[in-house]
Amino acid sequence: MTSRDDLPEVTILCEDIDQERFIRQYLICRGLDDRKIKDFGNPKGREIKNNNASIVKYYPDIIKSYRKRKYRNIAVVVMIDADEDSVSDKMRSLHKALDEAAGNLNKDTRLPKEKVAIFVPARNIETWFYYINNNMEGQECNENTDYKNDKMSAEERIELAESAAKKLAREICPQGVDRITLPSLRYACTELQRLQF
Amino acid sequence: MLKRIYVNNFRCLVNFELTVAGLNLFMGSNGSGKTTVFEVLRKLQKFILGDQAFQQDYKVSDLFASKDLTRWQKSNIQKFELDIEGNGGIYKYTLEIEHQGDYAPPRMRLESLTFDGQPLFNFWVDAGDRGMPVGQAKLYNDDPDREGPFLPFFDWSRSGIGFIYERPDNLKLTWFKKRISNFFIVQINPYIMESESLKEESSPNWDMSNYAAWYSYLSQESQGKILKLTLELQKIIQGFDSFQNSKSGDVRILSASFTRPSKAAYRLNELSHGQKALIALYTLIYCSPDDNFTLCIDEPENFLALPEIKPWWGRVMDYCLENQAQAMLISHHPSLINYLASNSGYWFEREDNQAVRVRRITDTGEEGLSVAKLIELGWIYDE
Repeated sequence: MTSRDDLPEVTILCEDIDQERFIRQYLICRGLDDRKIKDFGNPKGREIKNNNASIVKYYPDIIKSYRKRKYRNIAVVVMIDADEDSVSDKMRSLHKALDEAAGNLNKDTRLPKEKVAIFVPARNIETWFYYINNNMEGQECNENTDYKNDKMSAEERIELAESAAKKLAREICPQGVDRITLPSLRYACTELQRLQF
Repeated sequence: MLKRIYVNNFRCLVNFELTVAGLNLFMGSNGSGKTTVFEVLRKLQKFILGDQAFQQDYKVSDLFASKDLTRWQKSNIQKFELDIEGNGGIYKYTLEIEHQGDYAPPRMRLESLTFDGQPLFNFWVDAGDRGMPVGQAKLYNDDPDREGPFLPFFDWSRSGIGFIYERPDNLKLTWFKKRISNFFIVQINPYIMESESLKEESSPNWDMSNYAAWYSYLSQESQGKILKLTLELQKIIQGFDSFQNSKSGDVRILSASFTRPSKAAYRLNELSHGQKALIALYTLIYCSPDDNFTLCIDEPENFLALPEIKPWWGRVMDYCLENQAQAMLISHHPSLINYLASNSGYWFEREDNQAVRVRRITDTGEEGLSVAKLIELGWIYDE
């Protein structure tokens, strides 16, 4: 797919390589040039680990620098697994990191036109992979079970993330969010509107 | 120190002007023209002085090829200017090269040197009596009130300033030549740093391939500096003790002695690339002239382990501040960028492969991400 010049450059702040592959592939499917998608640098390289804390740590820095560049067509995509918390808990932790007082009042500390989207897979990104790759139908997918499979090979992980991203972009999103029954994924689709493309 | 460089119609440098300070960090994407600036400085140094290492003079045609004309420009004239502060004033050097197509070699069109506006040398091309252009030059003395000789037929294939030897009445001009010789412009390539030297060479090549020959020269001329270098390298390279530069037939062979795990000597080319690069980088600091020199180093971080670049840079800064010296670095190293960019950073860029533009780094001092991170994300200038 050819990249459109009006699409923003996107910086991805996420926990691990699986999340990055998923987001990158999704954005490519939506028409972004691979070279215009920058990885902020997940802290553990290719390891699949819980890196919640580092996302909360870097988020305020990236947003402060983003706000200095309002004239630029750039966007930020943040992904943080909910793990044992709720989606709103994780959203609040990021809002508090940026502005503690506002976050404590449960306010979204992003400004309305800021192209900053926050995705919180619950329980984790593997939940989304499982849900999407199983056609969202007849599956008892829930946000409490940990679908992470540590025995998967690197090739299988790549295939899993990329196929889920392609399916989300090409089949699921065009049909509208109402069909999505997994709450965290449905919420993420509303977040996508913040990217404005 | 170099204060300003102007280049027009040379590769990607079109109407390019850069003012620099004591410490300078050039940053930018690959192909944004950083190294080209160093290449211009090298060409001008070679043109004015010849190659000191090989005791060779250069003609215009040896250094300035028509392929280096900016491809999208129609003019066949290249222009270069240097402003150099020193000797209590400002030197302005100007060179114009005229390319004449495939049938005649390129020639000088203009070469001039002034000191605080006072002419020291002037070469120009006159239309000539019968429409045949002719090179003419005028020499001047240190005393602005004394007329110098007019030379009605002057060779336009070589630098006129290069030909002028030191006399008691032209010390201003010869000071300039000495200052030009004090530009050390290198892109260290440890793969080709050889151990053998046939003779002494007074300065390093662009790629440091003649390191052993330079060391031979330094060990004769600057023993105190070599001692300081050795003591510093003992701290930096584990087990390093000293250099030996032994005669073997017609050549000298440079080796490094190590004390651990047992005493042993290794030829220079047997050391690791990183060790050779470290040796070259520290030699540039400790064995430079005593003052008034400019280090131009293209990507000093190459081959070095991560912890090595900051201590080396710390030494460079101290040396520059203590010795009225200047450093210009091209680097992509995050530590150098974060350390230097806010005060000394220059961002090179070429929109759509057009001419190079340079901007001072201003996106600093803000809360948020480091300069290196902003560059990595493409959030500084580059679209």
